[in-house]
Amino acid sequence: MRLRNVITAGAIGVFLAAMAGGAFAQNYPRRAVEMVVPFGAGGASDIFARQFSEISSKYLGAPITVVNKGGAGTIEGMVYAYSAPADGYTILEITPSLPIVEARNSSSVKFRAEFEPIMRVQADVQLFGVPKDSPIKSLDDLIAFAKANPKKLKIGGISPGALDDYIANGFAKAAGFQWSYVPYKGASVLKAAVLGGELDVYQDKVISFMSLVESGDVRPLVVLADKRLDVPQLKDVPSSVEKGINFTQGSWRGFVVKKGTPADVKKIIIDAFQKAYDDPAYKEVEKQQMTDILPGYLNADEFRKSLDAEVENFSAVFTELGLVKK
Amino acid sequence: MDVFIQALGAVFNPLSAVLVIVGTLFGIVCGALPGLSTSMAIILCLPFTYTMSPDLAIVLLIAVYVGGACGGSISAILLKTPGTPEAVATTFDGYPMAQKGQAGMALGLAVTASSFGTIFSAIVMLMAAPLLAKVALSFQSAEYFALGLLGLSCVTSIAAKDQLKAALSVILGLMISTVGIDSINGVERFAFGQPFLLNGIHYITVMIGAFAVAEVFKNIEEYRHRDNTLQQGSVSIELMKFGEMVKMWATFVKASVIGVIIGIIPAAGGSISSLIAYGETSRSHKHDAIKFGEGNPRGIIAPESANNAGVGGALVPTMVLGIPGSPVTAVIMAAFMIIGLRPGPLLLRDQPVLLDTIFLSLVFAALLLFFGGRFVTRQFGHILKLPYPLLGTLIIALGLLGAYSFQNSFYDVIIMFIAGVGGYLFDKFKYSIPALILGLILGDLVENSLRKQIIIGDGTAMGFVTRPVSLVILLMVVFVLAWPMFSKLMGKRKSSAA
Repeated sequence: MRLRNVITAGAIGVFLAAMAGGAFAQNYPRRAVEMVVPFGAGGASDIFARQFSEISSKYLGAPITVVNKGGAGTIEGMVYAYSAPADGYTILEITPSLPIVEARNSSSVKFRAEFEPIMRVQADVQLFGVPKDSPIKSLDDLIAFAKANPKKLKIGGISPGALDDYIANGFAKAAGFQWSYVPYKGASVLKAAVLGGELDVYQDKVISFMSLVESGDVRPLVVLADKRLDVPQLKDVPSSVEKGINFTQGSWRGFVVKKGTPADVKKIIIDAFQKAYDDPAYKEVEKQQMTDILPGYLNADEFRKSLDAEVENFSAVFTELGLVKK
Repeated sequence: MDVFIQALGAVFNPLSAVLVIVGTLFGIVCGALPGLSTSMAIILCLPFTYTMSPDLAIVLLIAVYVGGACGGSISAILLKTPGTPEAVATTFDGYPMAQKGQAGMALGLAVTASSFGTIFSAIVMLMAAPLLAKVALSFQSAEYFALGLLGLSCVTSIAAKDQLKAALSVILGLMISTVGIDSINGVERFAFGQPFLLNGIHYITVMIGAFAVAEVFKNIEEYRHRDNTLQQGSVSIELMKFGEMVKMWATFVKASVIGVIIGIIPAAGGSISSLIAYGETSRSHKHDAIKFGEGNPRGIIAPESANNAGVGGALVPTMVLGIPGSPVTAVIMAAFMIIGLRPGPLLLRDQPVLLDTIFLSLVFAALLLFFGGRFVTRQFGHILKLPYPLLGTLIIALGLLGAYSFQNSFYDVIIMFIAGVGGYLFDKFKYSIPALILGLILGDLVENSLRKQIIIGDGTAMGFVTRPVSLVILLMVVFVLAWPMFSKLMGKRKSSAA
């Protein structure tokens, strides 16, 4: 008998709670929020999402569970977030890969039309360098050699038709030369190819680049940024803009929710993420990963504008490379 | 020496002993569950390491790594479901041995071989890490291609019964590996507009389907034709006598050497090294009383020594160069970064204790496996006493779990069932599933490195023969492929002379 009473009381309790929830829609979040990472577990974007979600769940007042949906080159993660209801319980982590998918027209779900930006949290700087025993000593050497020997230089990167491909070809286009982009399967094989002498030119984000510069295995040639970096070991490396090459693309990481998410829910997420971004614990993470060198933060409106501009640039280069799906 | 004593203090204390036990067990369980990979196990442990000292964190992560590399063999032996890709080769002889009622022996051998391989590779790592890192760098696209071919040539020994059907199976595997976005030009191949096919068909899902699900289909069919239970024979959990194992020391050592060498090469991993070790062992011990594929103990020792030897091997480039030697070490490297270490060429100079700490953690975990693990894991053998309807359901449930959790995608579950039906038919018509999986695993490596080398060589293929390491491996391929014919010829000549 007692058991039944308990069950009845419980049922009434749940019912009342549900009523209360219905009456106050802004009572968000009432359960765990899912963060969709469109990459496999263990990569830089995954580690970032896990660290950031841990800090921001404190401010959101609900646990954030990270779900990896790494299939189909970010398309599966995006489609998964797209098929969830627009209630703020599904947040999608994004990197330049998603606007690239849109620019290359490789998914039927149009990224910018279906998602609304929350915040761009951090940006990475990309560098070019050469192995230490390379005859190329400076960016001028590199450009002179590449102009004299079109397509002779080999630059590596991860995956065809992805960010590294865009950066390699976009930079060459802006500087007016040609080289061959060789796609690798992952960062480790790429680094091994550089250290083992298979590639002429190495590109990577600053955190991965630094360790090879410090050990003297790689000579940095150029930073893809507006100005030189405020890092002691890299202070003599010219920036692309100072060399007259107007190309500064790097990677970045941010968050979006599905279009149609109620404005008040969106505001709660933005506020929580803003507090997490300002948290000293997060600043510590940025310092460790060296993502604090260039300001990467953009609020929702700025983020939307930068996405629009990027998709346009991506479209132009990938169309030229013949990588846009008809 | 100071450094070593410092590391000794860090690793051998009560708290880290607890962590090693917990970590190894957790690794074994995750490894045994298909789909829950060793890298996932390490990621699940990461939040716990945030509050630990770096030494303890390393001890825990390494213990999980060692346990995971061993755990895959448990389900491979008992259920014909490799828990990790590294354990594919262990199914070839492990499962038949367990079916003969010697599950305990098979598990014991696997655990022993795993701990031997781990300790062997740990010693090699400690002695020669910087030197081995140079070896890792001499492997570039040309060498990867040659190595991939060497792996493919193992098909002559893993499916020796019907060479023609085995060759056809490999080719089918190679063809399936081309599905998806190609890795050089980004062109969609055989995707038919289906987004889930863009990433290709992964061998893990095919493996679970073609091995485990197909086996269940087959057993259900036999079960219907027979009224008695399938497992009439008693299930023994007896271990093999230590003296008998020592007699096979050469297999342990040879497989470990193969495992370490392939382990240090960034793009190759335990799945390739265990297949090559298995292929080589079955080639050189062809005349054993128990045939390979029917429960030969060496068929368990070779792949298990090799895949655990890859643990120490893969850590070499991770620590010396900051280049992870395997997906698992990539996660470990990320963990190092969270702990506050900076992986890269200077890591060992800045953190001299680290190498010793890792070495001791490896040895500690391996000893635990050897002394404790053999007795714990063989208890899993009791699972075979379940009536088949229950066991079969369990296998299918585990398979579903594994296929889904691999990428959290339901499409993988569909592919798994298709592979299950395909595997069943393969078995019926005596085609070779291992050969198909071999083609699927290596197809990508072979194609990608072949095309990359041709780009690097400005359109020529000369690099394959002008680079010495590549040439040597290619000559080995020729040897392995020609060996069966050669030995047949020699046999004939002998008999005609007599």
